[in-house]
Amino acid sequence: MAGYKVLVIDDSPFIFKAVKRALEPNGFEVVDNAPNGKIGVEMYDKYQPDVITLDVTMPIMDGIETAKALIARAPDVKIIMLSAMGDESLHSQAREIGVKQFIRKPFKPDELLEKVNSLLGE
Amino acid sequence: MLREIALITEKAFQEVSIELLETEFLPGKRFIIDFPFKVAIIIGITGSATGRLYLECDLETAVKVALIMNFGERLDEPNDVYTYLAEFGNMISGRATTYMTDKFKNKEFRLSPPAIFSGKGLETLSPRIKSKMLYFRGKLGKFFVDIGFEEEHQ
Ligand SMILES: [Mg+2]
Repeated sequence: MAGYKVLVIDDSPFIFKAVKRALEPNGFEVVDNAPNGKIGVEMYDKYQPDVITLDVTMPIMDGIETAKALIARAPDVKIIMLSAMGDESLHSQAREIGVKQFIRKPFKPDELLEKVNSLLGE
Repeated sequence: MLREIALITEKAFQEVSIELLETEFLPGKRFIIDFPFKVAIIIGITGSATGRLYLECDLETAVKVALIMNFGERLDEPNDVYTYLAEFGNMISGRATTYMTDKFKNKEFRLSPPAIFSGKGLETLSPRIKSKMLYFRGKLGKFFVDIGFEEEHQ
């Protein structure tokens, strides 16, 4: 999976570090960490990442709003919603917007790798 | 409902501690955290009811938790202790509200980003909140959790 770029939109620096540790040994480039959705959308334009991990609870612009903004910009954007919350109601709301993959925090590195690969394989 | 919420929160705390820190915390009797320097995280709960989850430990415990979260490596910067503990609190709150949303039909709970407090003699008051206090002990230290909601929603 060499060369694929991943952007982390999450207000926790811990998650950025955990995503880096899960993906970088497998050849991914984890390009940056946006601490909220507004900066996340700006960083999407800047980096044009292949995959985005997207938090839900963030200041300024939450994950649902961010997913809407990203998908409006780029309908094929590949998003994994990476959230501490995982109720059915949140998932169906996100699915309606166009989010296809979900991971509950805390996550295992292999679980993230598998979902990223499956999104890229589509 | 508050009793059920307390049980759900207990379960969420224990699950997240095992998954994230690979360590067990047991709920038990009341204690007072007497270490002079404490760290507290407050996470607002919104949606079908307005409330908050308050999580508190001493600085020593917070450092231990942050180091484990940082894969046993030295922290990049001292503030990571606080932001890492905040994410620990966020994960517990997220797990708890997920269970609450799934359990109480027609209710939906969401979170607001964590607020971090630290210092000596921390004391917080939430006059309009009806809450349950939970006490956890483990080999990393002790945690105090207080979960509650504004009374009109009970
Ligand atoms: Mg967050």
